[in-house]
Amino acid sequence: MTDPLPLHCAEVLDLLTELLEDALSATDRLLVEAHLAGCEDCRIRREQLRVTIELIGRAGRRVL
Amino acid sequence: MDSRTRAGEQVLLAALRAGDQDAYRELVDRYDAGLRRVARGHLPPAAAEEAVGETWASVVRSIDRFEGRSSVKTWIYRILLNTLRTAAGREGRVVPFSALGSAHDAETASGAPVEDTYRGPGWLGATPSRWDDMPHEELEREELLDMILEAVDMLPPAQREVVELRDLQGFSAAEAAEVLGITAVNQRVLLHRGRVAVRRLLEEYLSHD
Ligand SMILES: [Zn+2]
Repeated sequence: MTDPLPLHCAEVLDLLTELLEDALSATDRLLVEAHLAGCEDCRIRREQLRVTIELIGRAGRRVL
Repeated sequence: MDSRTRAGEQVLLAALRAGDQDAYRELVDRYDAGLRRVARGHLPPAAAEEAVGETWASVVRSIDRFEGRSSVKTWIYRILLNTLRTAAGREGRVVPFSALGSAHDAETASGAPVEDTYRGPGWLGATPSRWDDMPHEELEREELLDMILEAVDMLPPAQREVVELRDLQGFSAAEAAEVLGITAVNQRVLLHRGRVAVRRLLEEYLSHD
């Protein structure tokens, strides 16, 4: 049996922007990355957030 | 700002102070559309246009007093935010600016719909759908980008301001916090909530295709 993942998915979600902004402490970053390594759903959510950010940027470049 | 950008700003500032019309035109070309978007988030269209006009007039009037402690861009946006506050006060509107209401907005005013996005189906409740294999053309669709703009416009005001500046207009975290007069932490909280809310609307939209 593998070790349980650090953090709950909900906690990881709350930290995704901080992860992308490089605003996490070294410890939190390790915990979040360890969770992501073992949780496909959270990796998909991180990707969704990344796509969302990219699309907002594209929409902005089209109107500015 | 790196040293080259800083040098560029010095050249620009000198030209503006000398009354160089081309330098002003360049400034307007660069920032007017973004200023208009922010203004329209706070005022009806005609009043928003007026506020942007007032902002440019203030820029011309006060360029000699600008000390260069911030970038020209953040300085202009701060003038706009101050102008909008004054204009909103004149119109007797509730003033929803981050600088005034951010702590509140970050904690409570974002309300149930935004909270729901954390726990709702497709985010935490169900298995999220993959977006990384979406065809490239899908992401380029005009309709999709229009929907994104609408989603940003629908955010609670303080979230909207931060998402508008950061993700839509490409401000850095420090620039957005400075323009809005909020802390780095608050900036991130509002940004995250706004992004999550847009993500949810995007998911709804994509699931209807
Ligand atoms: Zn997870």
